[in-house]
Amino acid sequence: MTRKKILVVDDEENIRILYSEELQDEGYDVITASNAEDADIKIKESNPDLITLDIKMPGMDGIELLRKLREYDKNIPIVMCSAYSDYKQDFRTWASEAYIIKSSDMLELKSTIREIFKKREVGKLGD
Amino acid sequence: MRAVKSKSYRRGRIADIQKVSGENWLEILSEVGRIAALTLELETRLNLIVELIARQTGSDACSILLMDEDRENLVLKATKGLNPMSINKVILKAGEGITGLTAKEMKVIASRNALNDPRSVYFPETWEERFKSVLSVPIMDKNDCIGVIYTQTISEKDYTENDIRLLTTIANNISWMIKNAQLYEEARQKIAELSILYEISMAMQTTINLDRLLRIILSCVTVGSALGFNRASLFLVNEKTNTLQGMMGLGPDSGEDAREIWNKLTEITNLFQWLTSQGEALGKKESSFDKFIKSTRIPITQDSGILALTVIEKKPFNIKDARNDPRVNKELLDKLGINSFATVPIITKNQVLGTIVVDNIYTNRPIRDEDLQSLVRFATHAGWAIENARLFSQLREANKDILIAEQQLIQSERLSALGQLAAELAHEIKNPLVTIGGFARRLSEKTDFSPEGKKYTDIIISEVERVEKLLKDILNYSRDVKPTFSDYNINTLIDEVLSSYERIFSDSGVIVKKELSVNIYPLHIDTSQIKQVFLNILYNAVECMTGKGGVITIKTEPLSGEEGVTISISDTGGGIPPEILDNIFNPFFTTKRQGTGLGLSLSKKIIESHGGTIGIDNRTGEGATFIINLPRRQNKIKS
Repeated sequence: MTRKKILVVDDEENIRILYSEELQDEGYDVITASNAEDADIKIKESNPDLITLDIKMPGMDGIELLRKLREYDKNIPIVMCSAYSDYKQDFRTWASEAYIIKSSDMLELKSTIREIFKKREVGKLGD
Repeated sequence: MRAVKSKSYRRGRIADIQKVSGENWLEILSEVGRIAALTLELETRLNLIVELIARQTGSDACSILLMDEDRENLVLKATKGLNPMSINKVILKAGEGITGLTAKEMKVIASRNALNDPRSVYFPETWEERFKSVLSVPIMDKNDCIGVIYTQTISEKDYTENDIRLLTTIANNISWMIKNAQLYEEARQKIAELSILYEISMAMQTTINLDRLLRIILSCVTVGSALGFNRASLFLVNEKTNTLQGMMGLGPDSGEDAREIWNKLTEITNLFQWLTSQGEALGKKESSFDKFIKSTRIPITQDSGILALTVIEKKPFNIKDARNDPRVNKELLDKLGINSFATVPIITKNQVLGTIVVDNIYTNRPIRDEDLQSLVRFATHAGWAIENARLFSQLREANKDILIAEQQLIQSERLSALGQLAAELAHEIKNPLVTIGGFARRLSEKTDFSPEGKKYTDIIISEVERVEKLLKDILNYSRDVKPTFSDYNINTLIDEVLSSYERIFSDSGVIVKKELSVNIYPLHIDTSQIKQVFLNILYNAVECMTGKGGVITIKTEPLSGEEGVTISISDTGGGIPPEILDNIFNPFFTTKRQGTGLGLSLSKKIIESHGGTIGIDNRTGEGATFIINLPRRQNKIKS
């Protein structure tokens, strides 16, 4: 089985490092982007299997980026990551696969990603 | 009985003049003219005339009686020869005595010996016993008798045709003078009344305090130089209850009080000053009349008496025989203790504000239609003043409401500003916190630490967790709480909360007592939020009793005043120290090492978003009771 590639989009460098390391430990390839434009380039370049998207970013925010991404790829799983739960009720975030509140405890993020890939795998087998 | 020669003369001044001996007449005519030119005042004119007649007719006395305003009585107005102190005191009914008969039958009466004349009525105060003969002539104005002029002599006298013609002619020639002077007097009174009305309206403009204003109004109605009624009371329409509400009654309680007050009133020289001082002066002494009026409420319906009719029909009533008047409420009549009174409506812009009721209980003076007219005019002024005062007090109320709303707005703006600040701060802190905590975890997992190293990283991890939890609470608090409502029995909710807390209670040695009323309405509430409130309060209660044990009493009862429930939760944990009592509902205030200080402030926010209140009954040294009032407000709050 090929290693899954995850794109982490977050404007905070230390978060990108933390996420990368944690997810690499989980056995994924991780690439990062610090803003929406950067993310757009990386997606076209590397064709990731899953994207984690920070909501509050300077310039184009995560919600707007989510909307743009969905325009040309309806299937790629996207996990929204935010410091707070406010955007959970924002229907625009419903186009994402999951919504996670950032925490120093990475268990939720990791298990959510695992679940998403597991579901996709099952879906593929059924084809 | 001796027949008395009498003759009646109708008008015909020129014919009379020709018959009266020329020389004498011309002198009289010129003197009458001189008197008319000299003065317009009735009293002076009459005094000069009686002197002139006494002199010109060779009589020992000459007097003039005039009809009063009601055209019922003759009143002595001027005299030469009788006791001047009896002026205005001698009052005769038409037909009474020789002069009364003269007026009634409008004819001349001559009596040679009046002392023995059966028609005579003597007034000792006039000292008229010394006079024997009387000649009495009517003073005619068109076809009306406006008075009587009569001459008296000490010695007996047979009146000649000429005597009679002379006096009749004089009477005919002075009637216009009298009439003229009377009109002047009336005009002067009207002016006086108007200037009083002016002073009254000026006085009414000095205050917009309704109570003071009503006092000034009623003072005007009762003070002698203004309207001069013995007692006055004022009722205002209460539109909400459709009743007339007694506002104030002004008037002495007894005839004795009345005399005392009126004596004082005669000293008033400046009506305006006196009226404006009434706001305070009379307010201190509350009469039983005032008390009675203030306790009176009359429904505004056709069948509840004359006061209600005054308002409904928007017109005044002059009730002369109240006991036999079916429109008068007999109960009210007994309380007022009178048989005649008058009511006028207080009208502005065609809207009836209320009614003024007046009577003359002590003097028994009948209320004339003119009095009522003055009162109606006055009531219009009073109406405007009352309307002003009411508008002012409404304005003041509205202002107060705005001020309260403004304060609430400031408070909520402050809170929302705090909320926004908290949210931004939380976001800024959250990211570095996630990295600190996240890397600390990685450190702990990846590195082979010494026991100290392991302990230190674990402390970092747990402290970060604590701050993360605090941030979560802050964000929950500052975000608008959007509740989902359903009908729920609060007793059931309490049972649920208590059963899930059972172990904690027994572990802490706390006994829970329930006193739940069965007569309570289901409430329209967000159950998870209200549950949170109970948990917060119970958690606090348990914590302050841990180790010592104690009793928690949770009680429900119907809310007084409206549909709803009062829930009280008491503990025996020693109460809250008074110095921190004011702070317990403030966000971030805590005395506990573990708490975030948001529990009670969040509870308060939840209860208030349910339209309820939360308060505390603190018994220092004993315990505290949280009292929650939750109204039942179905459909009022959108979920």
